Amino acid sequence: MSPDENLLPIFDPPSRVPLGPPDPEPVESATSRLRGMVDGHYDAVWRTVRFLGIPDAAADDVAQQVFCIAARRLAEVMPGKERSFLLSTAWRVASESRRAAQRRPTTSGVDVELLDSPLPSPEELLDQKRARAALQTVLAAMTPDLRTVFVLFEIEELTSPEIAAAIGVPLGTVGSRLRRAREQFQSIVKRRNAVERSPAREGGT
Amino acid sequence: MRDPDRLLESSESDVERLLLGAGREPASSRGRQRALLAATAVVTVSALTTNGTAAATVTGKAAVGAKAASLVSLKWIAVVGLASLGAVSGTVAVQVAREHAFAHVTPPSESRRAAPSRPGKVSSRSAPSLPGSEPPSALPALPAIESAPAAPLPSAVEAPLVVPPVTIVSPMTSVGVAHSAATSAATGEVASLDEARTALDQADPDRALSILQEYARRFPRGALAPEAAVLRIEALVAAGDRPAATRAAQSFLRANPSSPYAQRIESLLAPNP
Repeated sequence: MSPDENLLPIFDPPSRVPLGPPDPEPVESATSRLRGMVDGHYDAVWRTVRFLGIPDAAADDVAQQVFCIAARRLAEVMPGKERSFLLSTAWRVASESRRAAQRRPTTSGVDVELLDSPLPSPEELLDQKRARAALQTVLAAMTPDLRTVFVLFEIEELTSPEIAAAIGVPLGTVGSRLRRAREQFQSIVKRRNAVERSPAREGGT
Repeated sequence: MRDPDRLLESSESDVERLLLGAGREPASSRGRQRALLAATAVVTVSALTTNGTAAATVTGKAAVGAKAASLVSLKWIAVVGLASLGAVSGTVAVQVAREHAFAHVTPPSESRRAAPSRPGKVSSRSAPSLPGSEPPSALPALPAIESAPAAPLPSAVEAPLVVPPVTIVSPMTSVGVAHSAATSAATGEVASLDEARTALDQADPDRALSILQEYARRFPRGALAPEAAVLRIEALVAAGDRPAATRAAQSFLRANPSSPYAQRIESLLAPNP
């Protein structure tokens, strides 16, 4: 089964490049289009892949795969829809990669001890690197389905219809997952904030 | 039904906003150039294989074996080099090229199984489905590729090549030699631009410029020439040499009027606020 069948609103029906003598023109325009896609969206693909749980050491390779898939299916990607295509592919590749990784003992992209540790203070969070690392740990503690919708909506700012198409679920499912994702995100943040802020409080929240 | 406001805007919690705000910053990654090369290799290989020489294509390299005489040209050699570079970074481009090839030569049910990409792993199942016209000497290349590390390689660009040398059916040793040259050239290009990028990130534009000068000397027709040109413009701006940056930008845009980098170059040259 391929999740591709669900990704209809973003993709034209697959169309094979017509046979004929090799013509440099399509290669050059495809290369140019790819340049634009890498230039504009590599960062988003890379960080989405990271936030969806791929370890740092693997993220570049996974991101590269995403762009290779895009290169292969360039004819199907509608102009203006490159970002949705790339992020949807990123989600799919990251999910498969995680599934494969779970069959081998591995870390889930984040140090297990960090998952319950106190969050940095707001002052410390002003440091972007630190804040991103902290965000990574919060996301790692979320359930995958909720995390996916959360990352694509809150961080990558896809619209609900784009997310629905990207992960192959009905629009209503996106809405309900987003609600639950927000609740989960906020409760994780609250819990870990309370751990740091109030060592004197008995029993915590 | 309208989408809710994004949490970044609507949250009442400082901490939440700080976390989410950091999420959108471009996380610096060194993989950009390699991704571009690998993706470009896929596009070029697929354009060549749709020419009907696809029958014996296992990877882009095997296609050379099938119709070596008609396909040997500098461009093709460069493509082979690029495809191999993609493989250095984790067998990705090779695998994708292979999947693409399968899409052409295998029956629909086979290609459906082969098509979904499996990160880092090459499916051994797909090997037996090659059509009988497959030149036998191309097959031994498969196990070697599959024994490449399934776990993604670290991002060190100078990782040793894991791809076996081109399996050429016809005795065209000059192709083999040119292939190795192209492969290491492509690897060298990425390393060079990575270094230049690092120098820029470390606020050392002069070093970046000298690396880029070296790049231009070593790779006069490099595959990443546009990327090098943009880096050079950026470095010139950072070094405070606006006139040179402007000249470089103008000459680039004249030569590449429809470049996807046009906007980026213009914003590099925009007067500082």
